[in-house]
Amino acid sequence: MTYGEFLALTCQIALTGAPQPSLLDMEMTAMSLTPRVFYYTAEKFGLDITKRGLVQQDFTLTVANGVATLDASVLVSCMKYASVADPADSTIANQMRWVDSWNEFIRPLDSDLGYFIVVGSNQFNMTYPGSPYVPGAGFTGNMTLTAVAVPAVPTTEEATIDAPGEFIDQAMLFLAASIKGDSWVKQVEAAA
Amino acid sequence: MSVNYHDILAATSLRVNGLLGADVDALEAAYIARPLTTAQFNSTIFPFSDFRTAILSAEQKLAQVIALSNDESQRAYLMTQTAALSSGDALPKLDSAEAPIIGPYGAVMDGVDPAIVCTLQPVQVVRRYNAYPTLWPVPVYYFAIVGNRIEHTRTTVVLECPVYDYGAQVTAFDADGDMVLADGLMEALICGGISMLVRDDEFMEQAKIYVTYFNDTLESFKVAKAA
Repeated sequence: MTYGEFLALTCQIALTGAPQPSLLDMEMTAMSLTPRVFYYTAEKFGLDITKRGLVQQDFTLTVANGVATLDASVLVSCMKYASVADPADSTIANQMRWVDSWNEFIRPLDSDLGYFIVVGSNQFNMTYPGSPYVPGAGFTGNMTLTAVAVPAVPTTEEATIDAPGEFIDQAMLFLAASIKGDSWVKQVEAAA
Repeated sequence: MSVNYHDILAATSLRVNGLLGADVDALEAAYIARPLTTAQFNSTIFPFSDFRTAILSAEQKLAQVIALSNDESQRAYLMTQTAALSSGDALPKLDSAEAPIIGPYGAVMDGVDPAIVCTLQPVQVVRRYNAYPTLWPVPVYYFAIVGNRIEHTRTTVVLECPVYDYGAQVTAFDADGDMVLADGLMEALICGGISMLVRDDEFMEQAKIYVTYFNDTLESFKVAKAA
Protein backbone atom coordinates (compact mmCIF):
# COMPACT_ATOMS: atom_id res chain seq x y z
CA MET A 1 0.00 0.00 0.00
CA THR A 2 1.35 3.42 -0.91
CA TYR A 3 1.45 6.28 1.52
CA GLY A 4 -1.13 8.13 -0.59
CA GLU A 5 -3.50 5.17 -0.46
CA PHE A 6 -2.92 4.80 3.27
CA LEU A 7 -3.82 8.44 3.89
CA ALA A 8 -6.85 8.37 1.61
CA LEU A 9 -8.28 5.31 3.36
CA THR A 10 -7.49 6.71 6.77
CA CYS A 11 -9.13 10.04 6.07
CA GLN A 12 -12.25 8.31 4.84
CA ILE A 13 -12.33 6.07 7.91
CA ALA A 14 -11.99 9.16 10.09
CA LEU A 15 -15.22 10.52 8.68
CA THR A 16 -17.17 7.64 10.20
CA GLY A 17 -19.34 8.96 12.98
CA ALA A 18 -17.46 12.24 13.20
CA PRO A 19 -18.68 15.81 12.74
CA GLN A 20 -17.68 15.80 9.10
CA PRO A 21 -17.38 19.44 8.07
CA SER A 22 -14.56 20.04 10.50
CA LEU A 23 -12.62 17.06 9.17
CA LEU A 24 -13.10 17.12 5.43
CA ASP A 25 -9.67 18.56 4.65
CA MET A 26 -7.66 16.50 7.07
CA GLU A 27 -4.72 15.39 4.95
CA MET A 28 -2.26 17.76 6.58
CA THR A 29 -3.46 16.65 10.00
CA ALA A 30 -3.12 13.03 8.96
CA MET A 31 0.41 13.57 7.68
CA SER A 32 1.31 15.39 10.88
CA LEU A 33 0.08 12.51 13.02
CA THR A 34 1.48 9.66 10.94
CA PRO A 35 5.00 9.55 12.52
CA ARG A 36 3.49 9.55 16.02
CA VAL A 37 0.96 6.86 15.09
CA PHE A 38 3.65 4.67 13.51
CA TYR A 39 5.72 5.03 16.67
CA TYR A 40 2.74 4.29 18.88
CA THR A 41 1.64 1.28 16.83
CA ALA A 42 5.16 -0.14 16.68
CA GLU A 43 5.50 0.18 20.44
CA LYS A 44 2.13 -1.48 20.99
CA PHE A 45 3.14 -4.35 18.73
CA GLY A 46 6.61 -4.49 20.27
CA LEU A 47 5.19 -4.93 23.75
CA ASP A 48 2.82 -7.66 22.56
CA ILE A 49 4.59 -11.00 22.26
CA THR A 50 2.10 -12.19 19.66
CA LYS A 51 2.79 -9.22 17.40
CA ARG A 52 6.39 -8.34 18.19
CA GLY A 53 7.75 -10.25 15.24
CA LEU A 54 5.76 -8.02 12.90
CA VAL A 55 7.79 -4.98 13.85
CA GLN A 56 11.21 -6.48 14.42
CA GLN A 57 13.93 -5.61 11.97
CA ASP A 58 17.58 -6.58 11.57
CA PHE A 59 20.26 -3.91 11.80
CA THR A 60 23.96 -4.16 11.28
CA LEU A 61 25.74 -2.38 14.11
CA THR A 62 29.20 -1.04 13.44
CA VAL A 63 30.70 -1.50 16.88
CA ALA A 64 33.90 0.25 17.91
CA ASN A 65 35.35 -0.52 21.35
CA GLY A 66 32.00 -1.85 22.51
CA VAL A 67 29.99 1.15 21.36
CA ALA A 68 27.71 1.69 18.36
CA THR A 69 25.03 4.11 17.30
CA LEU A 70 21.52 2.76 17.00
CA ASP A 71 19.42 3.43 13.95
CA ALA A 72 16.90 6.17 14.72
CA SER A 73 14.00 3.83 13.99
CA VAL A 74 14.90 1.39 16.79
CA LEU A 75 12.54 1.64 19.76
CA VAL A 76 14.68 1.87 22.87
CA SER A 77 11.62 1.18 24.99
CA CYS A 78 11.51 -2.31 23.47
CA MET A 79 15.24 -3.03 23.49
CA LYS A 80 14.80 -5.52 26.31
CA TYR A 81 13.23 -7.79 23.69
CA ALA A 82 16.10 -7.34 21.23
CA SER A 83 18.71 -9.90 20.36
CA VAL A 84 22.31 -9.38 19.32
CA ALA A 85 24.30 -11.78 17.17
CA ASP A 86 27.78 -11.93 15.79
CA PRO A 87 27.56 -12.66 12.08
CA ALA A 88 31.01 -14.20 12.35
CA ASP A 89 30.07 -16.57 15.18
CA SER A 90 26.59 -18.02 15.35
CA THR A 91 27.11 -19.36 18.87
CA ILE A 92 27.33 -15.91 20.38
CA ALA A 93 23.67 -14.94 19.98
CA ASN A 94 22.33 -17.01 22.84
CA GLN A 95 25.00 -15.64 25.18
CA MET A 96 24.04 -11.98 24.81
CA ARG A 97 21.76 -10.48 27.43
CA TRP A 98 20.00 -7.13 27.82
CA VAL A 99 20.57 -5.35 31.13
CA ASP A 100 18.48 -2.54 32.51
CA SER A 101 21.11 -0.61 34.43
CA TRP A 102 24.61 0.60 33.84
CA ASN A 103 25.83 -0.91 37.11
CA GLU A 104 24.61 -4.28 35.97
CA PHE A 105 26.34 -3.73 32.65
CA ILE A 106 29.77 -2.95 34.06
CA ARG A 107 29.54 -5.46 36.91
CA PRO A 108 27.64 -8.40 35.43
CA LEU A 109 26.52 -11.36 37.46
CA ASP A 110 27.93 -13.83 34.96
CA SER A 111 31.08 -12.69 33.20
CA ASP A 112 30.88 -15.58 30.75
CA LEU A 113 27.95 -13.89 29.05
CA GLY A 114 27.89 -10.80 26.90
CA TYR A 115 25.65 -7.85 27.70
CA PHE A 116 24.16 -4.88 25.96
CA ILE A 117 22.48 -1.69 27.07
CA VAL A 118 21.43 1.59 25.49
CA VAL A 119 22.59 4.84 26.98
CA GLY A 120 20.78 8.01 26.11
CA SER A 121 18.64 7.92 23.02
CA ASN A 122 20.84 5.89 20.72
CA GLN A 123 24.20 4.84 22.17
CA PHE A 124 24.45 1.07 22.08
CA ASN A 125 26.99 -0.44 24.48
CA MET A 126 28.00 -4.08 24.57
CA THR A 127 30.45 -6.47 26.10
CA TYR A 128 31.40 -9.61 24.25
CA PRO A 129 30.81 -12.97 26.04
CA GLY A 130 33.72 -13.70 28.31
CA SER A 131 35.13 -10.19 28.01
CA PRO A 132 34.59 -7.87 30.97
CA TYR A 133 33.69 -4.24 30.52
CA VAL A 134 36.75 -2.02 30.04
CA PRO A 135 36.12 1.69 29.55
CA GLY A 136 37.20 2.82 26.08
CA ALA A 137 37.96 -0.68 24.94
CA GLY A 138 36.05 -3.75 23.94
CA PHE A 139 34.64 -5.48 20.89
CA THR A 140 35.19 -3.92 17.51
CA GLY A 141 33.41 -5.27 14.46
CA ASN A 142 29.91 -5.76 13.09
CA MET A 143 27.04 -7.19 15.13
CA THR A 144 23.52 -7.94 14.00
CA LEU A 145 20.79 -6.40 16.12
CA THR A 146 17.24 -7.70 15.85
CA ALA A 147 15.01 -5.11 17.48
CA VAL A 148 11.61 -3.54 17.42
CA ALA A 149 11.70 -0.60 15.03
CA VAL A 150 9.25 1.93 13.74
CA PRO A 151 8.47 1.45 10.04
CA ALA A 152 9.62 4.40 7.99
CA VAL A 153 7.05 6.99 7.03
CA PRO A 154 7.29 7.29 3.25
CA THR A 155 8.61 10.53 1.87
CA THR A 156 6.50 10.50 -1.26
CA GLU A 157 2.86 9.88 -2.02
CA GLU A 158 3.71 6.97 -4.33
CA ALA A 159 6.15 5.19 -2.00
CA THR A 160 5.01 1.90 -0.51
CA ILE A 161 4.78 1.59 3.27
CA ASP A 162 7.34 -1.02 4.20
CA ALA A 163 5.40 -2.77 6.96
CA PRO A 164 3.20 -5.85 7.35
CA GLY A 165 -0.47 -5.56 6.55
CA GLU A 166 -1.47 -6.03 10.19
CA PHE A 167 0.66 -3.08 11.19
CA ILE A 168 -0.79 -0.92 8.44
CA ASP A 169 -4.36 -1.84 9.35
CA GLN A 170 -3.85 -1.04 13.01
CA ALA A 171 -1.97 2.17 12.24
CA MET A 172 -4.81 3.22 10.00
CA LEU A 173 -7.34 2.78 12.79
CA PHE A 174 -5.14 4.58 15.31
CA LEU A 175 -4.53 7.41 12.85
CA ALA A 176 -8.21 7.80 12.01
CA ALA A 177 -9.03 7.84 15.72
CA SER A 178 -6.23 10.30 16.46
CA ILE A 179 -7.59 12.67 13.85
CA LYS A 180 -10.97 12.59 15.56
CA GLY A 181 -9.71 12.97 19.12
CA ASP A 182 -8.62 11.20 22.25
CA SER A 183 -11.98 9.61 23.00
CA TRP A 184 -11.83 7.80 19.68
CA VAL A 185 -8.27 6.61 20.36
CA LYS A 186 -9.46 5.05 23.60
CA GLN A 187 -12.17 3.17 21.75
CA VAL A 188 -9.70 1.80 19.23
CA GLU A 189 -7.25 0.90 21.97
CA ALA A 190 -9.95 -0.99 23.80
CA ALA A 191 -10.82 -2.91 20.66
CA ALA A 192 -7.22 -3.65 19.65
CA MET B 1 -26.30 29.17 -28.58
CA SER B 2 -28.21 30.17 -31.65
CA VAL B 3 -29.57 33.62 -30.88
CA ASN B 4 -27.57 36.13 -32.84
CA TYR B 5 -27.30 39.77 -31.96
CA HIS B 6 -29.07 40.87 -35.12
CA ASP B 7 -32.13 38.80 -34.17
CA ILE B 8 -32.34 41.02 -31.10
CA LEU B 9 -31.52 44.09 -33.14
CA ALA B 10 -34.41 43.36 -35.51
CA ALA B 11 -36.90 42.83 -32.70
CA THR B 12 -35.73 45.91 -30.84
CA SER B 13 -35.57 48.32 -33.74
CA LEU B 14 -39.00 47.21 -35.04
CA ARG B 15 -40.60 48.46 -31.81
CA VAL B 16 -39.29 51.98 -32.28
CA ASN B 17 -40.09 52.07 -35.97
CA GLY B 18 -36.43 51.82 -36.84
CA LEU B 19 -36.74 49.40 -39.74
CA LEU B 20 -37.46 50.34 -43.32
CA GLY B 21 -40.66 48.95 -44.75
CA ALA B 22 -43.16 50.79 -46.81
CA ASP B 23 -45.34 47.70 -46.94
CA VAL B 24 -45.68 44.31 -45.28
CA ASP B 25 -43.26 42.53 -47.60
CA ALA B 26 -40.60 45.23 -47.37
CA LEU B 27 -40.84 45.28 -43.61
CA GLU B 28 -40.53 41.50 -43.45
CA ALA B 29 -37.54 41.61 -45.79
CA ALA B 30 -35.82 44.16 -43.59
CA TYR B 31 -36.72 42.20 -40.45
CA ILE B 32 -35.13 38.95 -41.62
CA ALA B 33 -32.14 40.39 -43.44
CA ARG B 34 -28.82 39.23 -41.98
CA PRO B 35 -26.60 40.90 -41.28
CA LEU B 36 -28.59 44.03 -40.69
CA THR B 37 -26.97 47.17 -41.94
CA THR B 38 -27.90 50.80 -42.21
CA ALA B 39 -29.62 49.82 -45.46
CA GLN B 40 -32.46 48.30 -43.45
CA PHE B 41 -32.87 51.27 -41.12
CA ASN B 42 -34.70 54.54 -41.53
CA SER B 43 -34.98 56.04 -38.04
CA THR B 44 -34.00 59.66 -37.68
CA ILE B 45 -34.47 59.46 -33.91
CA PHE B 46 -32.01 56.66 -33.19
CA PRO B 47 -28.91 56.22 -35.32
CA PHE B 48 -28.07 52.65 -36.29
CA SER B 49 -25.17 52.41 -33.82
CA ASP B 50 -27.35 53.50 -30.92
CA PHE B 51 -29.35 50.29 -31.20
CA ARG B 52 -26.10 48.41 -30.61
CA THR B 53 -25.29 50.59 -27.61
CA ALA B 54 -28.76 50.03 -26.14
CA ILE B 55 -28.70 46.25 -26.62
CA LEU B 56 -25.14 45.79 -25.38
CA SER B 57 -25.77 48.05 -22.41
CA ALA B 58 -28.74 45.89 -21.48
CA GLU B 59 -26.64 42.77 -21.95
CA GLN B 60 -23.88 44.23 -19.85
CA LYS B 61 -26.29 45.11 -17.07
CA LEU B 62 -27.83 41.64 -17.17
CA ALA B 63 -24.38 40.04 -17.21
CA GLN B 64 -23.39 42.07 -14.17
CA VAL B 65 -26.44 40.96 -12.21
CA ILE B 66 -25.91 37.33 -13.23
CA ALA B 67 -22.24 37.53 -12.30
CA LEU B 68 -23.22 38.74 -8.84
CA SER B 69 -25.86 36.05 -8.45
CA ASN B 70 -25.41 32.49 -7.27
CA ASP B 71 -27.02 31.02 -10.37
CA GLU B 72 -24.07 28.93 -11.51
CA SER B 73 -25.84 27.69 -14.64
CA GLN B 74 -26.18 31.27 -15.91
CA ARG B 75 -22.82 32.38 -14.55
CA ALA B 76 -21.29 29.59 -16.68
CA TYR B 77 -22.01 31.66 -19.81
CA LEU B 78 -19.70 34.36 -18.47
CA MET B 79 -16.98 32.18 -16.99
CA THR B 80 -13.39 32.23 -18.11
CA GLN B 81 -10.19 31.85 -16.12
CA THR B 82 -7.55 34.12 -14.73
CA ALA B 83 -3.91 33.81 -15.66
CA ALA B 84 -1.88 31.47 -13.46
CA LEU B 85 -1.33 32.98 -10.02
CA SER B 86 1.51 32.22 -7.63
CA SER B 87 0.91 32.16 -3.90
CA GLY B 88 0.84 35.70 -2.58
CA ASP B 89 -0.21 37.25 -5.88
CA ALA B 90 -2.85 39.94 -6.02
CA LEU B 91 -6.23 38.89 -7.37
CA PRO B 92 -6.55 40.15 -10.92
CA LYS B 93 -9.08 42.58 -12.38
CA LEU B 94 -8.77 40.94 -15.79
CA ASP B 95 -8.96 37.36 -16.97
CA SER B 96 -6.21 35.61 -18.92
CA ALA B 97 -7.45 37.24 -22.13
CA GLU B 98 -7.58 40.64 -20.41
CA ALA B 99 -11.36 40.79 -20.26
CA PRO B 100 -12.71 42.68 -17.21
CA ILE B 101 -13.85 40.50 -14.34
CA ILE B 102 -17.33 41.55 -13.22
CA GLY B 103 -18.22 39.33 -10.28
CA PRO B 104 -17.06 37.00 -7.57
CA TYR B 105 -14.57 34.31 -8.50
CA GLY B 106 -15.72 30.74 -8.93
CA ALA B 107 -13.61 27.66 -8.30
CA VAL B 108 -9.89 27.80 -7.67
CA MET B 109 -8.08 25.17 -9.70
CA ASP B 110 -4.58 23.76 -9.74
CA GLY B 111 -2.57 25.59 -12.39
CA VAL B 112 -0.96 22.38 -13.69
CA ASP B 113 -4.09 20.22 -13.62
CA PRO B 114 -7.16 22.46 -13.78
CA ALA B 115 -9.37 19.40 -13.25
CA ILE B 116 -8.37 19.52 -9.58
CA VAL B 117 -10.40 22.03 -7.59
CA CYS B 118 -8.70 23.49 -4.53
CA THR B 119 -10.49 23.91 -1.22
CA LEU B 120 -10.66 26.97 0.99
CA GLN B 121 -8.64 26.84 4.19
CA PRO B 122 -7.67 29.34 6.86
CA VAL B 123 -4.62 31.27 5.71
CA GLN B 124 -2.69 29.94 8.70
CA VAL B 125 -3.05 26.37 7.40
CA VAL B 126 -1.88 27.37 3.94
CA ARG B 127 1.07 29.25 5.40
CA ARG B 128 2.02 26.28 7.59
CA TYR B 129 2.11 24.08 4.51
CA ASN B 130 4.20 26.53 2.54
CA ALA B 131 6.63 27.18 5.39
CA TYR B 132 7.76 23.55 5.50
CA PRO B 133 6.75 21.94 2.20
CA THR B 134 8.95 18.87 2.70
CA LEU B 135 6.90 17.87 5.74
CA TRP B 136 3.94 17.06 3.55
CA PRO B 137 4.81 14.35 1.03
CA VAL B 138 1.24 14.03 -0.19
CA PRO B 139 0.13 17.10 -2.12
CA VAL B 140 -2.79 19.10 -0.81
CA TYR B 141 -4.84 21.56 -2.80
CA TYR B 142 -5.59 24.42 -0.43
CA PHE B 143 -6.05 28.12 -0.88
CA ALA B 144 -6.93 31.14 1.20
CA ILE B 145 -8.04 34.57 0.07
CA VAL B 146 -7.24 37.47 2.35
CA GLY B 147 -8.20 40.92 1.15
CA ASN B 148 -7.08 41.10 -2.45
CA ARG B 149 -4.40 38.39 -2.10
CA ILE B 150 -4.48 34.67 -2.64
CA GLU B 151 -2.22 32.20 -0.90
CA HIS B 152 -2.23 28.55 -1.90
CA THR B 153 -0.28 25.31 -1.71
CA ARG B 154 0.27 24.74 -5.43
CA THR B 155 2.90 26.04 -7.81
CA THR B 156 0.19 28.11 -9.45
CA VAL B 157 -3.59 28.22 -9.45
CA VAL B 158 -6.15 29.64 -11.83
CA LEU B 159 -9.50 31.06 -10.78
CA GLU B 160 -12.79 30.86 -12.59
CA CYS B 161 -14.11 34.35 -13.12
CA PRO B 162 -17.15 35.94 -14.80
CA VAL B 163 -16.21 38.50 -17.41
CA TYR B 164 -17.88 40.90 -19.78
CA ASP B 165 -15.77 42.58 -22.42
CA TYR B 166 -17.78 45.36 -24.02
CA GLY B 167 -15.26 45.89 -26.80
CA ALA B 168 -15.31 42.23 -27.74
CA GLN B 169 -19.09 42.24 -27.78
CA VAL B 170 -19.16 45.29 -30.07
CA THR B 171 -17.06 43.28 -32.50
CA ALA B 172 -19.32 40.24 -32.10
CA PHE B 173 -22.41 42.41 -32.54
CA ASP B 174 -21.12 43.96 -35.74
CA ALA B 175 -20.37 40.47 -37.09
CA ASP B 176 -23.86 39.27 -36.04
CA GLY B 177 -22.30 36.88 -33.57
CA ASP B 178 -24.02 35.01 -30.75
CA MET B 179 -25.28 36.81 -27.69
CA VAL B 180 -23.17 36.04 -24.64
CA LEU B 181 -25.95 34.88 -22.35
CA ALA B 182 -28.36 31.96 -22.55
CA ASP B 183 -30.91 31.87 -25.37
CA GLY B 184 -33.65 32.07 -22.76
CA LEU B 185 -32.60 35.63 -22.00
CA MET B 186 -33.28 36.86 -25.54
CA GLU B 187 -36.56 38.42 -24.45
CA ALA B 188 -34.82 40.20 -21.58
CA LEU B 189 -32.26 41.67 -23.97
CA ILE B 190 -34.96 42.89 -26.30
CA CYS B 191 -36.85 44.46 -23.41
CA GLY B 192 -33.70 45.96 -21.98
CA GLY B 193 -32.73 47.42 -25.33
CA ILE B 194 -36.17 48.93 -25.92
CA SER B 195 -36.23 50.39 -22.41
CA MET B 196 -33.16 52.44 -23.28
CA LEU B 197 -34.50 53.73 -26.59
CA VAL B 198 -35.92 57.02 -25.41
CA ARG B 199 -35.14 60.40 -26.84
CA ASP B 200 -36.81 63.53 -25.49
CA ASP B 201 -40.40 62.31 -25.15
CA GLU B 202 -40.22 59.78 -27.98
CA PHE B 203 -41.24 56.21 -26.99
CA MET B 204 -41.32 57.20 -23.31
CA GLU B 205 -44.46 55.25 -22.43
CA GLN B 206 -43.29 52.18 -24.28
CA ALA B 207 -39.92 52.30 -22.53
CA LYS B 208 -41.68 52.41 -19.14
CA ILE B 209 -43.48 49.17 -19.96
CA TYR B 210 -40.42 47.39 -21.29
CA VAL B 211 -38.23 48.42 -18.41
CA THR B 212 -40.57 46.61 -16.04
CA TYR B 213 -40.21 43.46 -18.14
CA PHE B 214 -36.44 43.88 -18.06
CA ASN B 215 -36.40 44.58 -14.35
CA ASP B 216 -38.43 41.42 -13.73
CA THR B 217 -35.58 39.41 -15.18
CA LEU B 218 -32.94 41.36 -13.29
CA GLU B 219 -34.89 40.93 -10.11
CA SER B 220 -35.28 37.17 -10.61
CA PHE B 221 -31.52 36.73 -10.31
CA LYS B 222 -31.40 38.89 -7.20
CA VAL B 223 -34.27 36.95 -5.61
CA ALA B 224 -32.58 33.66 -6.47
CA LYS B 225 -29.46 34.84 -4.69
CA ALA B 226 -31.35 35.91 -1.61
CA ALA B 227 -33.27 32.63 -1.38
